[in-house]
Amino acid sequence: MILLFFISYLFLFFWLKLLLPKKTEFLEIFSTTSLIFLGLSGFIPFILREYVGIGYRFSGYEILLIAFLLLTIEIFLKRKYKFIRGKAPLKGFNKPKLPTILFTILSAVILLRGFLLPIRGWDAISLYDSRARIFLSGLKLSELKDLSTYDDFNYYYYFSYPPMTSVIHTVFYSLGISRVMVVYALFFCSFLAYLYLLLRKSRIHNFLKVGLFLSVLLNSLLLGQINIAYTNLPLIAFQVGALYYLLRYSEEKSLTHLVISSVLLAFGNWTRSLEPIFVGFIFAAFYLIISEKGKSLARKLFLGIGYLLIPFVTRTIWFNYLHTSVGSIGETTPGLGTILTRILDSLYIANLIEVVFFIFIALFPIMLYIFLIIISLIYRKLGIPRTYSKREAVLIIIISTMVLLMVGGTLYFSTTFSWWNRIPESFLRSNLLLIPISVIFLSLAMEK
Amino acid sequence: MKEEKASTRNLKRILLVGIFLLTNAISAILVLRTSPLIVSLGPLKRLFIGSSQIMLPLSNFFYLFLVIKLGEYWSKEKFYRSLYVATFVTAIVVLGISIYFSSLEAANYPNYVFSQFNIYLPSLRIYSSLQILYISVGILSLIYFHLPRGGELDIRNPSFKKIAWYLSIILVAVILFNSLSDFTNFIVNEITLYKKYVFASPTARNELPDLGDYYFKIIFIRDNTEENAVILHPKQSEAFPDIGNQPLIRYTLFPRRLVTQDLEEKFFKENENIDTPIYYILARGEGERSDTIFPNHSVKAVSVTILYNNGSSNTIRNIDYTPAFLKNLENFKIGVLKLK
Repeated sequence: MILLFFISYLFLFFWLKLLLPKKTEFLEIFSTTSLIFLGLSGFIPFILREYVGIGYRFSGYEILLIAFLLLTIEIFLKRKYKFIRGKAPLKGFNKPKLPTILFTILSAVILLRGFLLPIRGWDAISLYDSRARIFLSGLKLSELKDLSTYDDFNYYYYFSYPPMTSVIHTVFYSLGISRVMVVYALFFCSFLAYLYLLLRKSRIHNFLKVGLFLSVLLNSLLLGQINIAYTNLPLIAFQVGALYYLLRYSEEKSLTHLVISSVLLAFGNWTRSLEPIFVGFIFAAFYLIISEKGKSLARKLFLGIGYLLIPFVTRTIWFNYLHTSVGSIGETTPGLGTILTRILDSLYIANLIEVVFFIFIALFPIMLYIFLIIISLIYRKLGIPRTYSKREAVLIIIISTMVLLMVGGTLYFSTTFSWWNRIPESFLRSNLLLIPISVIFLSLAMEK
Repeated sequence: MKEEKASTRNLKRILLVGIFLLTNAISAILVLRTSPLIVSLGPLKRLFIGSSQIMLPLSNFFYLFLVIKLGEYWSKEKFYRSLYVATFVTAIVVLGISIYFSSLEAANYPNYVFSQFNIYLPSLRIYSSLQILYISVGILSLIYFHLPRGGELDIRNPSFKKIAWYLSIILVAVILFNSLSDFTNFIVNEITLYKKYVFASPTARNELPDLGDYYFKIIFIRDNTEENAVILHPKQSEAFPDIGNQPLIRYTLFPRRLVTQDLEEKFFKENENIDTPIYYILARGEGERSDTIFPNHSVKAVSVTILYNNGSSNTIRNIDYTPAFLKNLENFKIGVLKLK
């Protein structure tokens, strides 16, 4: 069964090699293949199990079939026969340079380490991996609420997060791979690879590049995520992947890049649904699409709506699923009217001070990275006469949206839940994306 | 008119010095929150610490403006220059202290600095990290307001990038320093993990490394109950943070049905004719809650199987269980009671 895993992965790898521009680097294809492979593994088997009734023991074949179809379409419908004629796609890669070799060795160590580790993290055991093991026994997610009939404390616990990582665990178990911590190592390597590629291409001093890369790699908050099977790291990996392709799109205007970005964002929404950070990506994509010259309005509308719809597909499926399975699970996913009313209710001085203090303390461990953003903004405002590049604008839009959501979300929580200020660690984990984003933004702002 | 100007100037000075002193005092109170001096304040301690926590973000926000303004007023009077230098000296001293205590902490054990010197390191790190921002913004402000246009260091001159580059390098270096301090802990944890888990013998290996001896308890319960059994467990609380957490214990006990303490009555009412085996987890509360016992009522049992702290176990058959029985057991770790 484990062979299915490798064949599916290879099919997806070759598909992306043919799909992406010729000079695309090995590391980029590796990262994107990993994320798409993991994303498909966490999404398709769940849909087929819950809506069609196909059990998880067939998951390996399902992924293989999809990978095979994607590759076949690429080869035959798009007539990329060179692959079959013996001109192997791997020949297309440039000879790797020393930093790339070092990075590959580092990734290999992280992946090997992933195979050695047991499942770790409280929520990982009680929720994510627990769901996976129960899925493996044949139960559907909707049936899990019956398990909690005699639990007055955690009735909707199994429904508190979308099932991405749980289903990935199930698929891995069904393929005979018991050491699922390797999944998180794979997410981490993919995320690092995107960061590495972005920094390497950046026109800043090499010394600064290395420093910035290490300041992410060695950050204990991010590094610690490879030791626990939580959903924060997978979400960051999907979002950094989505950002990478959005930045590529801003330069190359390739539809492929836009679609990959959108798909990765959709997988992110299938991983965690509480924080709507993806909205910032959609605004950034709208900005890029609208500011494009020489494209018709119809084309722009098509691209904009397409980018908007794909991430909403997974989000809508999850919320509909929740609604039909258990109804409402609380006030963490309210309507716009409720949000606005609660935020207006929260706007009194004592509460504002408390909210600002909470955000300040919660984000303190990443405060230095926030300083990087502030310094970059001050520098760009004062030091460089040119207007913001599109890539800078993309990041500013995403950062601004994150800040707005952070403040708005905390204000909403402060008038909705009595425990709102007792979860600073969770709040911090939800905003860890600021670490890579600050580094990427600085690398763009400091460009020659 | 002149008098008015003098009073405005004095007010400005008082305001700036006030922000400088107040912000540093607030940060110092939070760093030294358990020092003998603060503790000796008695009931006022809470007031001091509470108000400092509330005022910290606001005062630091004003401090940022202070350093910008001091950069702008540099050439006005000696007073402003002195205050500007004072902010820098404070920043360097705080950074030095922070680096010293962080390295002490890394070289010893977590919470070492707090236990030995009454210094709350997270607050010191907040204090010192903010100083980096102030130094950077202070330098930028001075350059922006005072260096001649067109020169090497003109903020609009491409060479200005060098300054920004150095500032970024300083900031990245501080981030790396912080990361490396944490990285030392990461490596220590990594070694412990490998010793305890990866390279340990299968019998000594704890498959759930973060949950202490919980693994051995739950495996004992699993091994001594049938898969179709119903298991009643204590309610989720401080006394039973792990064994009372139904989703957590289900991870190992699935497919057994689980019933929490508070719904025991409801379960028996709704399942009067149940013919599957029913068990109670026998447990004592953790730490200071060791007086809390589950089940806390009498039960007629087919058997009681007990795991002791030394790893041995024994089974007692046909027993009328009472909470006193569990209270008097020595070296007790966990047990299961099969209901008659």
